[in-house]
Amino acid sequence: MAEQNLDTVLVIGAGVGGIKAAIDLAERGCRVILAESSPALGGILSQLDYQFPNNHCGLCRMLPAWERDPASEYCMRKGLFHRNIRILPMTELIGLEGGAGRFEATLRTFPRGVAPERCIGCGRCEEACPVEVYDGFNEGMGKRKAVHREVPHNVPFSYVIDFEACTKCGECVEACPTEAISLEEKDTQAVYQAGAVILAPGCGLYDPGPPDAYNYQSLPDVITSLELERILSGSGPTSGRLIRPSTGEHVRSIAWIQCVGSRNAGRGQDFCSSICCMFALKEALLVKERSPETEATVFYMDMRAYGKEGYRYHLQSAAAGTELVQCRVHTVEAGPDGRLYIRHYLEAEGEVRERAFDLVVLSTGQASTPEMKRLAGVAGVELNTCGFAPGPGLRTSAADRAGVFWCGSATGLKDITETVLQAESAAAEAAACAGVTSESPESPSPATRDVSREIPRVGVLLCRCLGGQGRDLPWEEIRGDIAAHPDIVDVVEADLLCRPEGFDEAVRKLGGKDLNRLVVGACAPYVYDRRLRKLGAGLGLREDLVEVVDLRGTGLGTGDPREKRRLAGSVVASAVQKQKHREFPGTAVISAVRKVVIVGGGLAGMTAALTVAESGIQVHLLEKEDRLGGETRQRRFTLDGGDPVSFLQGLEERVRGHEAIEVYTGTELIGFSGEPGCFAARIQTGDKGESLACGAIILATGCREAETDEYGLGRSNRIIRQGDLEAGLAAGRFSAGDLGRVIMIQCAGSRDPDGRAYCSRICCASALKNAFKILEVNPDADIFVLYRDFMSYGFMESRYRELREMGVQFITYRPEKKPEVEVEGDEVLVRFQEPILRRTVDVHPDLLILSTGMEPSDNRSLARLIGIQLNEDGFFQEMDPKWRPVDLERPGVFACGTALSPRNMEEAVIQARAAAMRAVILLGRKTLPSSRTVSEVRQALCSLCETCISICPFEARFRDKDRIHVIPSACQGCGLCAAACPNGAAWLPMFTDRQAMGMIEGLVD
Amino acid sequence: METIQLDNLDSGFKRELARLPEAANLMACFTCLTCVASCPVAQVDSRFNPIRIIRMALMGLREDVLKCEELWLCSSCYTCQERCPNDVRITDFLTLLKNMALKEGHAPQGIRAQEDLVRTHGRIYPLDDFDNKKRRKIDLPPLPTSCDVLEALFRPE
Repeated sequence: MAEQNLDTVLVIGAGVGGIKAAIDLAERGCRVILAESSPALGGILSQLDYQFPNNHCGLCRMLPAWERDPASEYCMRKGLFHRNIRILPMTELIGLEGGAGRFEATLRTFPRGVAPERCIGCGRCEEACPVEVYDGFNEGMGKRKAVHREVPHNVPFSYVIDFEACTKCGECVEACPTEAISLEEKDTQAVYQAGAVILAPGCGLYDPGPPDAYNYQSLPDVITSLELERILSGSGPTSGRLIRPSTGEHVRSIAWIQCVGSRNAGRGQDFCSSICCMFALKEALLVKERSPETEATVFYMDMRAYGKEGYRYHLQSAAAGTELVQCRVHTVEAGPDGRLYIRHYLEAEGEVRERAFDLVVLSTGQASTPEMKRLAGVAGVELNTCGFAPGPGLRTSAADRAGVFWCGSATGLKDITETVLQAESAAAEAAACAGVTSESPESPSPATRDVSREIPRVGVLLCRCLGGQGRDLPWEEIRGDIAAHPDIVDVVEADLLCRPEGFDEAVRKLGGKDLNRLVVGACAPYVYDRRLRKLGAGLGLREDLVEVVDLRGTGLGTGDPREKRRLAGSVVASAVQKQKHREFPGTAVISAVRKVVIVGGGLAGMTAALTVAESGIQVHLLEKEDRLGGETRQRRFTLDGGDPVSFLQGLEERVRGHEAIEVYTGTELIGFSGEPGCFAARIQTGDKGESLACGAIILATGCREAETDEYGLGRSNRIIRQGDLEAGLAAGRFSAGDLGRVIMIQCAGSRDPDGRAYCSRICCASALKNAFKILEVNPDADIFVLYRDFMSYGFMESRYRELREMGVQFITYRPEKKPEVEVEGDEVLVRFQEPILRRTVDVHPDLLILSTGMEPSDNRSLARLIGIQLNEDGFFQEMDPKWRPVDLERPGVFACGTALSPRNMEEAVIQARAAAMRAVILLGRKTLPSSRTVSEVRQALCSLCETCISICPFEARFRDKDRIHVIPSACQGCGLCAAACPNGAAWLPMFTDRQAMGMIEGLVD
Repeated sequence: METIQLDNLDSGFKRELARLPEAANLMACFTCLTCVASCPVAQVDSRFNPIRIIRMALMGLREDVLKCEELWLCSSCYTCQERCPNDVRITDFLTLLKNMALKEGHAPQGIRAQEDLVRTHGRIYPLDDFDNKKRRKIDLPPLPTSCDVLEALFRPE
């Protein structure tokens, strides 16, 4: 039976990409079916504890920022809970009929073997199970039972049976106290209707076993980068101790081998896996932090730490002592001393060396999986020759079947930032495709009564089961202790609250007692919290008046019954105090102005404008020049043979023709005030000023091709930049036929701590693109590219190879020995060191092309005007570069395009759509309800010291004359301001001192 | 070392080579250094370096590469060729260069002497009756001391 939900989007795969797309769509008001083939969410991220740039987690930062109550605000490594998202674990897509807007998807769900609604996570089945297999979560290091928890920290804690390993002996069925296990369960199938489908299955990682010669299978100390990640993890097989798997000794030296399974055209792996360099740099940094004396050596070919913060991280890791050796490693061998030997060439010495290491880490790259092929087949879309989903191209993230979109690593390994951007972009397109326009439906809230003026009457409900551990507790005494508490009206017991019969029994028992607070003592609040809070609905109580405390996890494992009784009593007493002393803050509501101002009418700005407008929200598009197009107008061709000129023309026509977009050329933003959902933007066109109301603003002010004072730029007409060459070739100012010898110098003024300290990400691609263009006309042209690390990441690697095969020569130089340029009359002399021949080379090229990279427009005044930060290089600073890559620090302000980070056109389009999606989510509803936990200011106590403003990580506080204000929609209720305020003026209504003291008293009494 | 004057070099050399089957994929080389790191000769004699020879050829240092004596240090073990991620036929390519060098008279004297031996005797180590006497002592059949197909083999084209 198909469910009739055409504004539903089906998301396949619940890794970072799938989860992000699902959350964005859910926030947008779509219903989402999130199907994941494994029993657990999180994909590869569940195995990674530390992420660049701050080596923390941060997964939770994907959670809704604006209306937080529909989602449980828990650590996302434990799980995801959102009322618009229906999660179907162990489910795969097996059929997809229909088309965009009216898909019928057949999903097959594999049996868990353990009914999650009955499983109480007691673990008795696991004890009973006689079957042991290698543990996939720890990358095969360590073992688990056939009945197991897929990811140890996931909730629900419920178990799952690995039917491939299970012998159906029935021991677990016997052991289970709640009859949750059935070994005879079969697959189930169901058909769902959906308006659009997002495919985010992720990709596989390369298997470095034979025929590769790393001895990965035979030597235990040769591990993959993911295995090292597990070793460094506290939840891993060694509890985070850095030891050699073979001997258990401390690791004194580690080698990372890059490009394992990547950049190997001979094997058909003609791609770069894009993320492994950053991954190795991060792991080396982590190792250095844990154990500074451990030698960390990375054997690499090109250190592809590209983009906005990549080079800084490269230097940071190197400064921490990571040794970088440029040599591809083929073989790892064990020596008689049990250590691992690597032979490599040391360019500085011009000699072959052999070095021994305790541990060798293989940076395994991406690999296509049978599941990707199966899924593409079912969805009726194509994969590229390497078995990956094709890149998005300039137009959309759509696959070749309308209504089906790819995101995440199925399009090639992605870091978190790019995955999140791609997911948001795909979500924007899927929402449009599913017909979600204008406003999202308001979620009805159940009728509740106002109890703020009533005397607290607290009821206590105790579940006697507690995951099977509560059976032998002295319940009579516990109940007596609690009932003696003066604020408690009644204590009621129930059994198996997590099951429908237990829940119904509790509702019956609680009825008619005239309670206005309820404390529930149960187990695993992560899982059951939301369900148990619904008990309040039966009593006419708001959900937040129901407090669920974890009796099971609170030391009930100790043997002494008196101690157990004391603990249970104090935990409940503490929760009673919390509810007794609670405050009833009003819920702030802001009416949203459903208009977006976009600053910058280039590629990113126009794309964002269209995406916003197509969702039914008005756009004011400001461009300071007299025409739209920005820097992209200078682009004449792309590396993939695309036509940016006609693309841009088409885009401009659609923008100009859209009724919801108003274009202002020759216009600048000169004033900005207000708060998210309700800003006032002051603009100026010529000498005419105007005020625009808007709910959000997107900054897309772009970049320009950088200048440099290096290499004689400007001193000879033979010395030009890549952009000048592109324009010159297109306009016929240079004839490729006349170019005998061309030298290109990469990183001209870039990746230089004294100049532009960042990698511009696009220059290597520009060099490739222009070299192709020259060779197209003049195949005999002799082109030399002098570079430091060649950044042809992803599938661009094959273009790099093609160009080499066409005769272009790529020669490295070191920043301490840069090429030298002398202008000699009409001639230009380039002198560089050839590192392989170890000789100096002199050449007089017809043209010297400098890859100067891009630099952001001067955004300092705009940043001041809006109240946001620029990073050291002048790009807009994201709120969180990984998890909120288009949100800026001031809520309601977003950015995209090259003003945010250097990127190519395709990537800028994705980013623009992501920024538009964020703005549309914010303005998708008529009002912006803030969360109930919002900090407030007691103005009478405030000394205006502004400590709270500087400490607030969400920019939710500002000073206006003699008052400190809180932006309710921005406040995330973290409580830092309340802790920092010296006068007690900043406070958090749901976490008052009185409440906290009461809770502590409850615990220690 | 002397500065290379790129302006004077033969930029067509690499394309000329690339047309020959032994130099297939030669230009695909991305200087990963796997070949030299794997080379058993380079390990004991740092003068020999396959990537250096490839780079000289690609840059158009035609005469230098054909004249360089290191070319002849290659033991043709094929490890580099086996391991090259770009399927450059490195050993075959070095053989090609050796043949070109010999043809153009750039081979070292020792090699040329060997060539003469092969031309006149069909063997690098010419056999005579003395050898066959020793063979007879250990019950091995005699080998021919002259080669009658030499003329046909080395007939000028």
